[in-house]
Parts: sequence; C-alpha cells; structure tokens
Amino acid sequence: MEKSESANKMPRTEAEMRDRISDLPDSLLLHILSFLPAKEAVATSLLSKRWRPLWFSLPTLELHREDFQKFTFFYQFVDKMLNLVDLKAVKKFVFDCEHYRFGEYFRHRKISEWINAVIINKVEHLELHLYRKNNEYELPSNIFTAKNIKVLKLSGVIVGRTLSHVNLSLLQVLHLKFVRFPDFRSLGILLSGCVSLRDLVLSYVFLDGYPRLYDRHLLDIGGLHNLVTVDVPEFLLPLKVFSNATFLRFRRV
Amino acid sequence: MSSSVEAITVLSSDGDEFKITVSAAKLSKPLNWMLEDVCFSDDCDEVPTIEVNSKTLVKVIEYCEKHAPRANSGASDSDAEELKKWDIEFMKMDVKDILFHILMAANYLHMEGLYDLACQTAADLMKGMTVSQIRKIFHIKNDFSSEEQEQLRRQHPGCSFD
Repeated sequence: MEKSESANKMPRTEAEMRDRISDLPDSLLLHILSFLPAKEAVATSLLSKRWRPLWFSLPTLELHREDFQKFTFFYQFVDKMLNLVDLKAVKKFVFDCEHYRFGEYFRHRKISEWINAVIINKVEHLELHLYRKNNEYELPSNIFTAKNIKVLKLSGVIVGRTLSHVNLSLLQVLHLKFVRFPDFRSLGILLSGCVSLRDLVLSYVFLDGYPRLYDRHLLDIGGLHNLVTVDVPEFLLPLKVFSNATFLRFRRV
Repeated sequence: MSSSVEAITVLSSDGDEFKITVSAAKLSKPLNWMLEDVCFSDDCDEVPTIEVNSKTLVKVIEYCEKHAPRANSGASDSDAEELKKWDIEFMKMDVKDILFHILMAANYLHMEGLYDLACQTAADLMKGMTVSQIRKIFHIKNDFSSEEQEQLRRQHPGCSFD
C-alpha cells in the first residue's frame, strides 16, 4: 500500500500539489456546493473553467441576508439567481431574511414570486425565515398545496384567513416559529392536510384575537398516524392527535 | 449466504486483504449485494476486490464499523450526539491526501452518511474563503485568460477573484 519509508517526502509533495477536487464528477462537486450558502457557491464559478458552469445546476439554494453587506445586493442577488439557475435542479430552497434592519423590506409580491418559482419546479425542502416585527408576510396559498414538499420550515410569517385547502401529502417535517394563525380552525386545516407528517415543531405559534380554548377541538383531527416527534405549546394539551407520537414535548409559552 | 459468517474478507485495489464485519458491510449497497451474490463460506476461495486503495479502505471500514450498530438497530439521541462528535474527529484528516479518496469511495460504495460527511468536510474547507484561498487549498489552477477574467468581473461585481 504505502511506498517505502525512504522515498517519503518528494513524491508525496508532488501528489499533494495535484488538483484532485476538479477531477471529481459534477454530481459530487454539486453535492459539496450544496453545503455552502448560495453566495459562496456562486463564487466558486470564478475558480476555473471546470467550476464555471456548476452553479447553474445547484441542488440547494441557501440565501441569507447576513451574507450581504447591503440589503439591495441581497435583493438583486436573489432575483438574478432565480432567473439564471436551472430551477428544476433545485431541491432545497432556504430564504433567510430574519435579521434585516430598520427600513429594509421586501415587496411581498416579490417573495411570493420567488416561492412560486421554486414550488412549480417541485422543490422538496422549503425554508422561509422573515423578520416577524417588520411588515408581516402572508403566505401565498400555493405553499399549502405544494405536493412535492417534504420539509417545510417557516418563521416570521402569517397564515391568512382564507386558508381552506391544504394538500401536503408528502410533508414529513413541519417547523413553525413565530407564525400567526387567525384561529384554531386554520391551524387544524393545515395539520389535517399533512398526512405523512413525522416531525412537528410549533414554537411561538400565535392565534389572533382571544382564541377560545374550547375551540381547541377543531384541531382534533385524525390521520396523523406517522408522527414520531412532536414539540408543541402547552395550550394544545390534551389532544388525541398527538397521542401516537414517540417523543412528545410541550412548551410553556 | 450462511448466517454463521460474521466477517468477510475483501481486497483493496492495491491487493491488500481487509476484514469487515457483515453488519458493517451492510452500510454499503454494493457490499451488501456482494454479500448476497458471492459465497463467503470457507469452501469458496474467491475474495472480492473493492476498487478503493488500502489507505482509504482502512478509513471506510473504520467508519462502517463505528456506524453499524446504530444503523442496524436505531439508537438514542445521546448515541447520535456521540456519533456526531466521533464523525468530526474522524474527518480531521489531511485534506490534500485522503479526503478526495474518501469522497470517491463513499460515492462508489453508495454510503450516504459518509458521502454527506465528506462533502460537508470539503465545503467547510471552502466556507468563508476567498476564491484565491480556495484555489490554494485545493491546488486549483486559474485557467481563465485575462479577457475572460475581465468579463467575469463585470458579471459578478460582488465577487472577487483575489
């Protein structure tokens, strides 16, 4: 296996100087890039000709406001990126603008446009993290019928009053944080449309107005037989819907 | 295959023999197929070759043996934590030397966990680095002409070549 001890230094150095990473197949390089934020993944296209075209087929787009000095750069980057990449290749889309500063905000129509673009191209993992105190964003209804989504993590958004139809039949992971619902009924509609759900986290989920606890039964829906881990606020106790879960945690809010 | 066999012998691409337990071999789809197809009993003297060099195969087998108990039985969260720490230590290896072989091996042996781990490790080496730093780490040659570079600079105003 190893060359003899005497001949150690020189050949090893030569071997180390070889550009091995560029010899790897596209699929492997793309998988490596999927662990980088989108901004850094795109920057690798400047490495060499080998790397130049890869970013068009990124399977993961992780867009973080924090990676950009100016809000306008972030905005332009996201917009340009979604226009240029092959959206059919995108399996995971993370849009994280949780920490934007005073005076910075997106036009909601633009966010919906971006979400729509990844949904119609069958994204499987969707994360949307917005700053909750700034001009709350109401989720577009097509998010609730995105049948290919397996993982959905949302924060700093609101669910509209008009929610009536949910079909997230492949959804396995649902994490909601700082999400506002109009009432128990709409939360119930959402959960009842997630028949494959395995992992549910609701932290800082708010209901508008003065939700009457006896309306809680509206949430007691059947069909969530696959639940394994559940982490929900205490006020949702006691609900039969969670009784099958293996790991159950109630939060005091 | 007889159920009495607990470990199998395989050959690396350099021709060295290695032992791997059956439960660990199950982490790899191709190895698993080998287990089913090839006879590993005493009266069969054919030793299958795995197209991975010895140095890399040692690491791959080490990974499989460590992960096998959890993969085969499912384990608690504390085990998962411990395993994560072990993974980090395991990946503290010479970048230019063996990481690429591990990447290729994990790809070839269809080992999802190791594949993710190795790709994550490679990505971590790039994270926060400038283009020229990444080139230096992986010995990537800048093969753009100065005109091409100028053009790219215009297309990516936010990104720097240096």
